[in-house]
Amino acid sequence: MRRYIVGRILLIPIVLLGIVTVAFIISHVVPANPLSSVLSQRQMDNPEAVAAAKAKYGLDKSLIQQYFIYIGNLFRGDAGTSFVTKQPVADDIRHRLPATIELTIAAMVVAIAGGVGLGVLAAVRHNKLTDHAGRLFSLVGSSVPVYWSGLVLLLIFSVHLGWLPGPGRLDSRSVAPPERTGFYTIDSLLDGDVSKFWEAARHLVLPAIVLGWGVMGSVSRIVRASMLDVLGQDYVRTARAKGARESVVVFRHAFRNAMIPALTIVGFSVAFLLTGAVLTESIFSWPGIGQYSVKAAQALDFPAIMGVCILGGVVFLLANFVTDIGYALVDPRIRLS
Amino acid sequence: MTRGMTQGTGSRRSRRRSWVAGLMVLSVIVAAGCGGDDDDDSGAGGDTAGSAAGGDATSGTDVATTGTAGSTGSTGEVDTTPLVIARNMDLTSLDPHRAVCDTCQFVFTSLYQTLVGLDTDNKTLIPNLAESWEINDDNTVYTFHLAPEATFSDGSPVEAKDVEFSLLRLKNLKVSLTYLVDDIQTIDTPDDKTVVVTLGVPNAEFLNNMNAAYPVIVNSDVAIENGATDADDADTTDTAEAWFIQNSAGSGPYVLESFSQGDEITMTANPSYWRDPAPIATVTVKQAETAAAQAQMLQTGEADIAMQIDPITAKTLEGVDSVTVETIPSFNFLYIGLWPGITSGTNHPLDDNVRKAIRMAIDYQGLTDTLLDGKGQQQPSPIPNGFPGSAGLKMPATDVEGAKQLLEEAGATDLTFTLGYPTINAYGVDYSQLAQIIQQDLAKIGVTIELDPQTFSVNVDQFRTSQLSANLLYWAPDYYGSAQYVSYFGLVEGSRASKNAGGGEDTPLIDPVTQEAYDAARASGSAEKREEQYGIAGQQMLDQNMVIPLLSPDLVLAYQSNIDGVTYSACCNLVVDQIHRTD
Repeated sequence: MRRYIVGRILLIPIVLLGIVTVAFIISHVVPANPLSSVLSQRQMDNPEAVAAAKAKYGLDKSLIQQYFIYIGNLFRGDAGTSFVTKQPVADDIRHRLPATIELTIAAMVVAIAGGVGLGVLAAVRHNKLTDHAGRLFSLVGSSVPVYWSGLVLLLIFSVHLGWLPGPGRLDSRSVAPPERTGFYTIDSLLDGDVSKFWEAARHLVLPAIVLGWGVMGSVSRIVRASMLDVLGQDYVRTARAKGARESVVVFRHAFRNAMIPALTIVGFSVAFLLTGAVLTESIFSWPGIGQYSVKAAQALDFPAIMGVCILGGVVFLLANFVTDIGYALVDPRIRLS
Repeated sequence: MTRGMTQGTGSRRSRRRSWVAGLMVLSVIVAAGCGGDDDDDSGAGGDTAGSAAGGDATSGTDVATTGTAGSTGSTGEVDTTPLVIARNMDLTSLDPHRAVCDTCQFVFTSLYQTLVGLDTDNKTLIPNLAESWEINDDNTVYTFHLAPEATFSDGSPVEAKDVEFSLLRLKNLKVSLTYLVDDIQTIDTPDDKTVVVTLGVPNAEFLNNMNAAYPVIVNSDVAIENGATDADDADTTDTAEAWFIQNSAGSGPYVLESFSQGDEITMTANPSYWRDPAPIATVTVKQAETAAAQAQMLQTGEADIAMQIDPITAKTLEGVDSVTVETIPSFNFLYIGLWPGITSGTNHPLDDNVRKAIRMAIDYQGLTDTLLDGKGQQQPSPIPNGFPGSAGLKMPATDVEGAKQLLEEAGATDLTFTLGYPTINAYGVDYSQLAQIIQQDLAKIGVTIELDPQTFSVNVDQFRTSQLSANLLYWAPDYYGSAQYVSYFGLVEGSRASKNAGGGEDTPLIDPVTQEAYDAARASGSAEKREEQYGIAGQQMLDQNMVIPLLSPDLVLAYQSNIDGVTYSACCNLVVDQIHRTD
């Protein structure tokens, strides 16, 4: 297993280089001018201004030169400066990533708790009302556009009922806790501000539900199918025959085996959410990676686009990697090689 | 992968621990949803320190709000509850001599000041940092006398050298709207409080240019210390942008407290402000991408002002007692560009009769009714209603039959062209919807439009490089004055319109009548003469039908009912330091 892990880790930079190269080519062949995000419409008609901006952002060099300069800088730990924010891309990502991670964790808690729970319940009460209701709930979650569900939930729970706060990570007049991790929940606790912790946690609820509901559908379907398969196995029948309680049959004997396929979907869902729950971040004014990457793409902010692609590559590679390790841990019969 | 009975690898204790951990996390989330939140002071109103100060009636802008009884008297107390403004922030930099955006306009004029201010009538120029000025007869020499008491936020006086530095930096960075200062030939500073600006060409609107939100005056000493320069090579040697993104060095009523890109910007009262302090001590501009989100923030009290509510979303706020909604005409407009010199994307050149036919076929009132629920104005020419030269211009009538006839005369009854447009929402109008309605209107006269939706950057780039024979875009004023419109949309030297009309950068199409009127207006010190000349230029642009304004969306001012002083400014969008709470 150690050799497997080392091998996978060594592959990561090579795969990332491939991702960066493809992203570089695609973003540079788009028929648009990134300077339109840097200069005003009027200034785009000023040849001096255009030349100065091209020189400033290295766009006056050939594509090959730009590519190798970028790769060279990358190896030195410099991911470039965003055309739009004018900040180092690494800083931009570092600043935004905690917001996305915090939201992703909350969403995955919702997704896993809800999805696993619904899936197990649906399997155990196969073809009964609970099964149908659970599947319908999951289907709706997967089908309803996030844009719609987010706005509707905000309207109901924030505007009309006032039970939950509106968009943003904190109330609009609140000051963020001193930044240590970038997670407002953790930073509040580290600052000893329990009320701010609750404020940050309450702001997580709605976006986490909106995001998590979508993933919940996939998780519950996989878990249900897997549980049904496992519950039909001989060893489960044997356990029942030996007089084991149903809860023991389900949770000790069946559940762990049924979770293996679910690990795949969870792993990919985490990676997907981490690389940008764009619509949710937009509706809930959540300053995360999703918003950043969309704005970068719209503005043809090359360094930011590369930075986000690298992040996405790392996240998906790690997610795959952790999922594979997880398989081995959950089922020791699986040998990684 | 085979399945079978697990051998119980891993202890029961470790499995139980993971379940317990999972349940704990879930409990936290659920408890957070039900947990009490004492932050009721985050609602509207909140903990006000007293009634707000009114505006200073000496130099600077007065408080004059639309639809309210006027400001309350000053008690000298400052409201410490933050004012929250919700909008989709298009702010990309806080370097005032680099960024150009709608958000920039009111942020920069809160942190900094211009030489010249704009009265609440959106037309009259008033003193600001310059308490007085003189202009020579041919509008080439402007002498500004700075207010003696004007100081920067660090307490140092605003001096002539700061003005010189700021204007030259704007010019030499070459990023922002340099056209506002490009006419400057020399700047002299005979003493600390006098600035003599000599222009290379007559420009009767130079004062108006100095009212725009971009030639703001920065503390040159502080700026230079942090890498700023006004040298000719500033575009390559200036390194102050990163500093300006986290700091301000102005004389405005506010100073920059913090800026989180894509999240919020917070400004706090300038302790050294040389005029009456702003009524509200802290202003936070909060990112809210959609009009719906902004409206919800208003309803819940999370925001005091929502800046980008469109008329249709505004209807959802009807009947909400805590929110005031008013609709006023704006100077923004959306237009269709028809370029005779560009032949790609069309099977027939968009010549005079064709363009006129297109103009006559569009149902302008229908556009306003459908897209804005009637909350918009019609605008005959690219000079906005109320700007110099717009007074005598008449809106052409929609005439479908007349349009068909013109097309026949032009031999273009089978006209098909591609309409490029950005997939954006500008001033409450969805461009995809707008394009489809135009397509339907023109179908009535037998014209086929192929819609070409594009991202904004692609669209602007293609427009700018004369690749689009027809395009949709929008325009908003930089200041109160018509030269900015004629110089861009008129067939004059250097204009984008002349280049597109002629088919490219090297083949501009110049209209001598417009050029003469433009030159005369810029050289004339008489407001009446300028009105007359811009009227001629406006009529030419109207008759040429190359830039056809489709609609001018009204601006929706939506704010908490206990807020006063929310107005629309032609130069600055919003005058923040005039806003106060009434309770």
